[in-house]
Amino acid sequence: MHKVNRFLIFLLIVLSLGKAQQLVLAIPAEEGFLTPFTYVTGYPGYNLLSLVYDTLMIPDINGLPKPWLAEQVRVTNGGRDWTIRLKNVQWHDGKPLTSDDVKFSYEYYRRYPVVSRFTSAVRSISQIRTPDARTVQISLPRPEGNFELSTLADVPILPKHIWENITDPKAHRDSTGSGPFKLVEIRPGQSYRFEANPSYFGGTVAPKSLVVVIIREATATFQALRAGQIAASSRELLPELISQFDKDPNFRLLRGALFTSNLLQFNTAVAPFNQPTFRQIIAGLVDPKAIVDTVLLGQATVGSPGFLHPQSPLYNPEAGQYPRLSLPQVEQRLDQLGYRRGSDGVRVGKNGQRLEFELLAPANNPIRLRAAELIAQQVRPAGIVFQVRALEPNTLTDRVWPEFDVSKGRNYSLAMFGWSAPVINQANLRGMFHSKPALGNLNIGGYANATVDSLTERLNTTVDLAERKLLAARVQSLVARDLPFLTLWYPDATYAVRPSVYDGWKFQRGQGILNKFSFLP
Amino acid sequence: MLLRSLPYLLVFVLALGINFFLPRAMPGSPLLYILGEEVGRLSPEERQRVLVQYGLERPLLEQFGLYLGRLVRGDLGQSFQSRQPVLQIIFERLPWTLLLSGTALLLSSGLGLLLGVLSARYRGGLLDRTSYVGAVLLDAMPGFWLGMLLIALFAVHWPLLPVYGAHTAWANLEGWSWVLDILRHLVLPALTLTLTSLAGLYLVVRYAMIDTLHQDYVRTARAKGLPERQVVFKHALRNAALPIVTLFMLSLGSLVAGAVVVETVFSYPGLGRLLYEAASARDFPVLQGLLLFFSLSVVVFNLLAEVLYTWLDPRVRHAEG
Repeated sequence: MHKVNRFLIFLLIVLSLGKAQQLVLAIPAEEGFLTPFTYVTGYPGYNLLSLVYDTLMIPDINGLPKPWLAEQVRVTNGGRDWTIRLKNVQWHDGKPLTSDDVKFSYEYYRRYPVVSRFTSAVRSISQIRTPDARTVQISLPRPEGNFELSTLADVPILPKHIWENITDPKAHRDSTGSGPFKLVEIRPGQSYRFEANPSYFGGTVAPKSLVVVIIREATATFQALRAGQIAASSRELLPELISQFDKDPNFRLLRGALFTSNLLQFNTAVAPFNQPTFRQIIAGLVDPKAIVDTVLLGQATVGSPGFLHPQSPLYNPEAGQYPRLSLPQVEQRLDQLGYRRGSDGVRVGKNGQRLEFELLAPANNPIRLRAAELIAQQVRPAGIVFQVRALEPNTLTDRVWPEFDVSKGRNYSLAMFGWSAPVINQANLRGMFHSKPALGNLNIGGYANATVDSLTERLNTTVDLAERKLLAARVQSLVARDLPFLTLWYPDATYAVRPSVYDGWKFQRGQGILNKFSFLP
Repeated sequence: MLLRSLPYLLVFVLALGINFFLPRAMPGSPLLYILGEEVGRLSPEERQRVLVQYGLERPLLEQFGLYLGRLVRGDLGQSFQSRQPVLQIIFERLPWTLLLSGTALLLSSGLGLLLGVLSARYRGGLLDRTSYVGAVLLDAMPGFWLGMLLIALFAVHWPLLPVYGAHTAWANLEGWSWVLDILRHLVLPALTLTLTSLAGLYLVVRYAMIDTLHQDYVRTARAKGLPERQVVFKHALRNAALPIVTLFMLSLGSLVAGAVVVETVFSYPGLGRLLYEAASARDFPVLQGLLLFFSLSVVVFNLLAEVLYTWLDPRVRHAEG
């Protein structure tokens, strides 16, 4: 009897641990050690990193840049000179964060033998001066329209006193930052534990303790949420689970737009996708609304032909929707282009080219795969065959974007592809559409339009928001006409959280709930 | 003995080459995982700098030579992703895999052996029929499905057991509560793995026993009036042991490879999950290290099985002698 009692007490202790006063949040994969050189994914890795480190500016809840470590950001000389006045901030170890740290960080990312994810953001800076401990002056050789979002609000500031003698930054294990949380423990492959920074300059941080656990499987994640073993997840709810969680009074749902894009990418360098008229025919046949309704159960925003999300600050409403074509209209246009139906119903061009193509889709992404199948069904009645081919994601990337260098060419006709949120967040239209590989480094379809080239170049050197809007609007109209790819949808995210454990969550537009604001008043 | 291990050495060397070249034959570059999507923003020179940093720009054969050189010195290299020594990463995960797969192997072997013997002895009876059908059913069940089912039942519907992990992530438990915590986390994954791997040994034991129970010496033993338990376990099972031991040793060899599926479903931090993660991240050093480790253990346990075989069955020894 005595033994049984002891066992029961143990059991109770262990069971009650799950109800401790702290927030347990799940992420899907390990993010390595949390420094700017070792974290792994853009989401949620960078988001976790930003709980520990700060940037000079920050995208606010609507995605617009606002000063953060900076008290004030002044831009002069037509966008070439940036003067930043720092707040009175301390590192986690109590030392003051000064202009020296800022100068050191930006130079460290650039000069260091290890190229980091932040190297390109600081590459163009020509000079950094520190007239006093709280003032930084950054000079650029030419104006940069997106400097605030792509650099000031993106590059984490490192403590100089910790990093100045580090020669292998990827191997360095120290996460002293200035952010709302201190990293106190990592259990490899299992969890991260953070404690609130009691003297955070951005306000009182809650909760006091944050545990981030790794749950690989989506279904297991939501079962753990339902069982109360976690209080939130960086994963969006699977569409089919939304109504279940909505009905459960233990959960609160947060909904909002994500700026992740999902595209039907054309290789515009090969026939017949090199003809805009042919691409327009495909656009007329593909019905993104049907994909959103069928595959995503309505949990997405239909893509804009101009690529930018309707909620992004530079969106042009005139880009409208893709013009739908009726089957007779399509048949007529294909006839005019010289594609006649063969004996099996598949159309054949004058040169004997059958309208039969491979549509590459990532095997690990069931939603994109199902969308590809649906697209294949939508174009089939017109005598066009898309053979859906599921590829391991790395293999797909290798064919669409070999060596991540668009100048290396490409080996596909059609692919389901997409970009993570920052591409739309930072309105990186030059990267997406410029015909020169050095500038259009994301132009994986080989799109070329001289007007778009010059407009995007101007966009990149324009700081004034109104003028940027005008330039971006023209680019979107041209892209909507030329259709280098079809923007099919941007996911709408729904997150389920347990408000009884923690209820301070805030949805940052385009990014989700895992952000600094969720843990600040 | 030396002569006998020669083929194994050859297999090991072959495996070494395959372990090196196979991951590199996969299309796709590790650059994306070293740098993330930002790789698109880098200039070709910067990309080249990264490749040089990781020694990936050299010709494959040269890379292989360097790899072998380091291997001889016991250096498995550093993970591309975490920059930690591969050996350290493997040894961090190894205890969990040994615990999970070891528990499952013991349970499934014990259970398989017992059920197999009883099934054979009472062939055609209720026990035989139910356990046979049960084993075949379990064998056909995908591990992730069974795992999900157990989670839905024992973690959500009856909130008794944890869904993920190997121990409570935030608790600094000690002594018995620590052991209990680990055991609670072990129950569902070990049960899943046991159930899905039960059928193999059960079927082998059952067939081997059915075969031996019909042998003349068993009839003789019975005719001598020996108790049935002694006949079954001493006379029959001993003679049926060869295929059973072989299968068990083979399972031991693949023990360290963990259980990719079960470890993934239950987010168990073992080697199987590490393998999956390293493969999808093109983390060549970790992948090579793991495959090397797995090949080594398979080879060693095969060799052991052979030695044990000779010891168990004098006929093999005499045939050779």
